[in-house]
Amino acid sequence: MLGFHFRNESTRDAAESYGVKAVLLTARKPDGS
Amino acid sequence: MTDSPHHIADEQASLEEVLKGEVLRMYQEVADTPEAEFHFFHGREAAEMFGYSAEWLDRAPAGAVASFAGVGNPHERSELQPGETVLDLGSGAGLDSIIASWHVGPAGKVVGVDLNPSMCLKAQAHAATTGTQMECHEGRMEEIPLPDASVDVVISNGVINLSFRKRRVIKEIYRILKPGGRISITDIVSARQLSQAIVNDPKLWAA
Repeated sequence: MLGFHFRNESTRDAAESYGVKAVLLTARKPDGS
Repeated sequence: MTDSPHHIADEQASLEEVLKGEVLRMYQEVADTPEAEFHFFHGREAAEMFGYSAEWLDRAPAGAVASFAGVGNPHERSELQPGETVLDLGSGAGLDSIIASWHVGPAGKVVGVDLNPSMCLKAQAHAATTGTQMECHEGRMEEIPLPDASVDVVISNGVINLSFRKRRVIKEIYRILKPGGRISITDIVSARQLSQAIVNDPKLWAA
């Protein structure tokens, strides 16, 4: 499970107020491109 | 005219250079003094939080683990296969590159790219202590120093958010991927447009 972790709670709160999230992005380049 | 297109472009270029300096400073500090206090989790504590196995972390060089500063686990869905060529974009002290090299094996190849040449040397030294090889190139992610269609998989961990030109980075990744190539990238995104005060603050960008 991904999360966005800060040691400092106030930093985490500020980040979360901006909707900051950690994501895992996967994708594939089409064949023949 | 202070808001002419040329002025804005000059201002952005200047800010980008300041950001580059701050990124170099911040991540060099994590590598040189991993025991120091940072406002983000790093090292083994962070890697365990993101699901890196204890087996990997015990097997990897202590220096590479201690300097880990990622935001997630790109190996979770990378599905690396023996023989594949992998690019670790923003390879840092090399932990993700080393784990990738275990997956692709001796028939495969792991290439790191990092803004900081001393981090490239450090990553290569860490890889060598595990008996694996990686090559690392100093370079910017907006101008990846690799040929077209030369990579099977791109992994990256908490790096693309540092760029001022993210669209350019994505185009570069697309360029160097082989047809059918894949990406497995962990990073941070913001659901809201950040205020200009945040955008213009190199310390916040670099973090």
